[in-house]
Amino acid sequence: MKHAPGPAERLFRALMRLHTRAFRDRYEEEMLRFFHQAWHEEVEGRGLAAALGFWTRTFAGAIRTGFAQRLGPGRRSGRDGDPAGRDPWVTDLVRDARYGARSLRRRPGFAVVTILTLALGIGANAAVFSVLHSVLLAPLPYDEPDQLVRMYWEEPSETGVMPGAAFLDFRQNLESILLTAIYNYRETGADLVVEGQPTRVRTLFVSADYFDVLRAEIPIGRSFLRAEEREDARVAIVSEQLWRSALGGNRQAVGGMVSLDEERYEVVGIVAATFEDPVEGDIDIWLPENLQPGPTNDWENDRLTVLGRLAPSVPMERARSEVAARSRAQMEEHPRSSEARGVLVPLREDLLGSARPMLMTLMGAAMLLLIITCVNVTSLVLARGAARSSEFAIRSALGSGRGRLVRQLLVESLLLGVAGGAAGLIAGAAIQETLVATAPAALPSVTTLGYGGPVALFAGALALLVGLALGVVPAWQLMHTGLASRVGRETRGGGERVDQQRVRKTLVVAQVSLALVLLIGAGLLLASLQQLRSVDLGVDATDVMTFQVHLPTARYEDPEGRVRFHEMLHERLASLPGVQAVGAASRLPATGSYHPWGAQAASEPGRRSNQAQQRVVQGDWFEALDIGLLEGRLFGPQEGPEDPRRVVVSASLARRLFPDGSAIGQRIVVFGDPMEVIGVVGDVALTPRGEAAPTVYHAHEQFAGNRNWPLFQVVEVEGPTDGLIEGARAELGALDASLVLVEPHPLDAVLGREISRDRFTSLLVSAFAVLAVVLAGLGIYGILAYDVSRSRREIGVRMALGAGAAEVKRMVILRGLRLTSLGVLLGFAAALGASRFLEALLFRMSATDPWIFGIATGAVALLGLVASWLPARRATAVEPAEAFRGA
Amino acid sequence: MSPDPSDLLPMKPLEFSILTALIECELYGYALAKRLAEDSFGGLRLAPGNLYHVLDRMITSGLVETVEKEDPEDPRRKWYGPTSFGREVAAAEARRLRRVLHTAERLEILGRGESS
Repeated sequence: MKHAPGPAERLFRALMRLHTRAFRDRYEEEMLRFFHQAWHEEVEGRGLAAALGFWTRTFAGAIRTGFAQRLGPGRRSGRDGDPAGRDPWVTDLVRDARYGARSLRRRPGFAVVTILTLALGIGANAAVFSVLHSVLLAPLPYDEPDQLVRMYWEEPSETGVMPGAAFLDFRQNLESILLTAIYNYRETGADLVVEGQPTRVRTLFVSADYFDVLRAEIPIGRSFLRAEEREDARVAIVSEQLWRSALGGNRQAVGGMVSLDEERYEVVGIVAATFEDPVEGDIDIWLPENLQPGPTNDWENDRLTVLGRLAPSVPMERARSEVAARSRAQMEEHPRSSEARGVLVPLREDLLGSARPMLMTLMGAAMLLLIITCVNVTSLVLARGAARSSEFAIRSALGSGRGRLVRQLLVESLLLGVAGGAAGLIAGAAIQETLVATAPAALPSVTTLGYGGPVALFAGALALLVGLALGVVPAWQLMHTGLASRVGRETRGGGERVDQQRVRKTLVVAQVSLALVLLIGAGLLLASLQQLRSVDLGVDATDVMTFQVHLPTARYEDPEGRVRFHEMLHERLASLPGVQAVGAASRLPATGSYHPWGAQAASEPGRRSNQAQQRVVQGDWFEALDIGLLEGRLFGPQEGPEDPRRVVVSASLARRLFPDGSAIGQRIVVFGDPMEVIGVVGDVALTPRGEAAPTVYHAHEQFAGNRNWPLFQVVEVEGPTDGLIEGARAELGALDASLVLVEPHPLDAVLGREISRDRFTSLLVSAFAVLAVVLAGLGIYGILAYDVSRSRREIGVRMALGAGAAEVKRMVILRGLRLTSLGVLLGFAAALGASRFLEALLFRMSATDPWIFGIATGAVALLGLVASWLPARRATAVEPAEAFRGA
Repeated sequence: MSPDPSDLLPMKPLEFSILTALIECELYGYALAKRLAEDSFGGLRLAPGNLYHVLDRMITSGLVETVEKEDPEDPRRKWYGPTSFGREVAAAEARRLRRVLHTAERLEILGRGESS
C-alpha cells in the first residue's frame, strides 16, 4: 500500500491524540491505514483544493469526535479501567469552565465591559495584522516568488531603468538569472476594435521570456518567441478576462486576428486570470517589445524595466557576483561616458518594502493599545477579585487546594480572553474593511487582502496570551495571601488590601505612561503629515480641475487632427464661465516618474541627465498651474509640426546641462534628436515630498506625431469648481459625442492622494491614541472612585473636624495627579526612546520635537485632572454622619 | 432478555447508512467510507475519526461486529459486518422510514408523478 509523505503522517498521528487512549488502542492502526489509502486515492496528484478539503475534514472529524469522547458520557463502561473513558484533567477543565461561565453570568456588567474592552484591543491588532500579513508576510502571487528579482541600472548619479544593449548583454551572458524586460513608458493604452466597437485596453510591451520568468499560466496558445522581439511583430497575448469579455471566450480566438490601434495582430496565447502583472497590474494585452540591436537599444537610451528569476538553487549572492562581474566586463567592452552596473533587488522587497515602516509602526501602535486594554482589564479583574476574597476563603476552608483555586482563576481569565478574542476577530474584520475603504491607495497594488486562517490564528494566540496574562496577577496574589483569616471577616469597600491597591495603582500608572507614548507618536505623525501637505510642489493647485480625454487612435490617427482637437477643446473650455486658463500635459505634477528618457547638452555630451523627465504640454499648462517662467519664453505658434524642434526645460536641468551660463539658445539632445532651449521654468516636484526632477517640456504640436499621447487636462477657474465639469462634458460632447471625460477631480485632491499612506498611518495611530487616552482616563477615574468609596469614613471624619469641601476635593485630586504625574514621567522617558523608530516615517520633523512632547504631556496631565474631578466631587457629597454610621 | 430493535429507533441516518452498506457486503474501514460517499448510501464524506467513532458506538450497541475475512492485500485489516441484531434494527428502521415516505407520497410532497 502506498503511504502518505512523512510530515502528513506525523500530522495525522498528532491529530489522533485528540482521541482517548482507549479509543486509540483499539483503532489507531486502522485509522492509519484509512489515512494512507485516502491520501493515495483522494489527495496525491489532485492539487491544492483536494488536499485542503481532505485536511479540513480530517481536522474537523478529529476535533469533534475527540472532544465528544473526552467530554461525553462513557461508552464502554468497565472495559478499559477508566469507567468514563475520559482523562481527568479534561474533566476538571470542563468543570472549571462551567463554574467560571456561571460566575461571569452572575456579573454580566463586568463580563460585558471586559469582553468589549478586550475585543477593541484584539480587534485592532487583528485588523492591522491582516494587512501586515497580506503585504509583508504572504508570498507574492507567483510560483517560487523568492527567486524573483528586479535589476536596476545604477549610475553615479541615478539608479533606474536600463538601456536595451545592457539588457541584451546580460540576458545573453548571465547564467544565474533568466531575465525579462518590460517597456512600461510607452503609451499603455490602445484601441481594440471588435465588430466595429472600439474598447480602450491596457497594453504592456514585454520581452519573450516574460511569462516564463513569472511562470504565468498560458492554458491556451504560447508565449512570445525571441524572434518576435521586433518593431514589426504583430502578435499579441491576451488576458483571460479580456478573452472572455471581448473575444467570446472562444478557443478559436487563438490563431485569429484582432485589430489594435488599426493594426492587425495575431493572438498567440491567453494568460490565465490568476496572473497578476507585478509592475503595472490589470493588463489586458501583452505585446512583444522591440529588442533588436540599433539606436533604440543602444548603450545610452535608458528605458527598460528588468525582472529576473534566479536559476534553481542559485543564491542571491552568487547572482549578484555574476552581475557585478558582467557589468565590469561591459564597461571594458563598451566604454561609456559614465560607469554603470546592474544591481539586483529581491522583487518582493522592491514592490512591497516601502510599506514596511508604515505597517510596523501600525503594528507597534496596535500592540501598545492591546497592552493598555489588558492593563485596564486586569485592573477590573483585580477589583472583582477583591470582592470574591470571601468566596475563595470559604472554598479553601472546604478543602479546595490553593492550586485548584489558582487554576479556577486562570480558566476564568482564559474564558474572558477567548470571548474577547472571538468578539475581537469579528470587530477586526469590520476595522479592516474600514481601513481599506479609507485608504486604498496606501497599500501596494499587488497585494490581496485576506482575513482568514493566519489572522484567526494570530487573534486566537493573542486571546490565549491575554487570557493567561489577565489571570497572572490575581493568581499570584491568591498564592501569597492568607485565605483562612478572611473567613467571616466583614470587609470594608469590597475588601481590597493595601498590596492589592498598590498593584492597581501601578497598573493605572502603566496605562497613563503607555497612553502618553501613543499620543506622542500620533502627534509626531500628524505634524509630519501637516509638513507634507505644506510642501511646495512648484505648482498652485488651488481652484484647478483636472480630467483626462483619450482620443481613440482609430479615429484620430492623424497627429494634426489630434493637435487641432485639443486646440478646439481648449478654446471651448476657455469660454466656460470663470475659466482663467486651460492646459494639458502628459503627466500631472508630483505623481511620480514618467518617460525618464534623459537629456544631454549637444555641445558637451558628458553633461547629461540620464533620468530627465519628458513632458508633452499643450495650451496654457504653465499659466494654469502658476509654474513660473524664469528665462526666455514659453511655447507659441512658432512651434509648429514643421518647425525646428524647441523645448522648455526646468531650472534644475538648465543648471546641470549649462552650469556656466544661460540655457536659452543652447541645444540639447533627447532620444537622439537635437532641440533648442527657448525657455526655463521653475522646478516642479516629481513626488509629494517635493523632490524636483530635471524636466524637458515639449510642445504637443511638435510631438503629437510621436504617438497618440493621452493628456491630463487642467482648467483653472476663479472661485469654486462646481458646475465646471458638467460644462466641460457638454463642450467635449459637442466636439465628439463618443468621447468620455475620464476621472474628473480637483487637482489638489489628486495630489493629496499621493500622500495617502502618510495620512493613513497618522490617522490610524491617532485613533489608537485617542482610545488609549480614554482607557487611561477611565483607569484613573476607576481607581479614584474606588478610593473615595473606601475612604468614606476618613472623609467623614475630616469634614466633621472642619475640613471644607474644597480641601476634600483637593485631597482627591492630588491623589489622582500623583498617579498621573508618575505615569507621565515614565511615559515621557519611554517616548524619548521609542520615538526614534518613527524617524523613517517623519517628514521634516525631529522624532523628539519638543512642542509635540510638551503638548501631549499637557494633554495627559489635563486628562488626569478631569478624571479626578468626578470622584473629587463625589467625595464632597459624603455626609459625615452617614460615614460614621457606615463604620 | 434480548434487546428490542424498536428501542434503538429512530436510528441516526449515518448509522442506518453504515448498517445498510454492511448488510450489502462486509467492508473494511476505508472501503466503507467510500461506499458511504456514494449517493445511494447518503453521499457522506467521512474522516477516519468520524467513521471509527461511530463504528465503535455501533459495536458497543451490538449492531456491528468485526468479521474474519481473507484479505490478500492486507491480512491485518479489520473487516466489519452487521450482527443479526443489527439486521433486525435496520429492518425496523427501514419499515419506519417506509411509513414516513408513504405519508410524504400521500401528501404529494415529492410532486405529482414523482414517486419512490
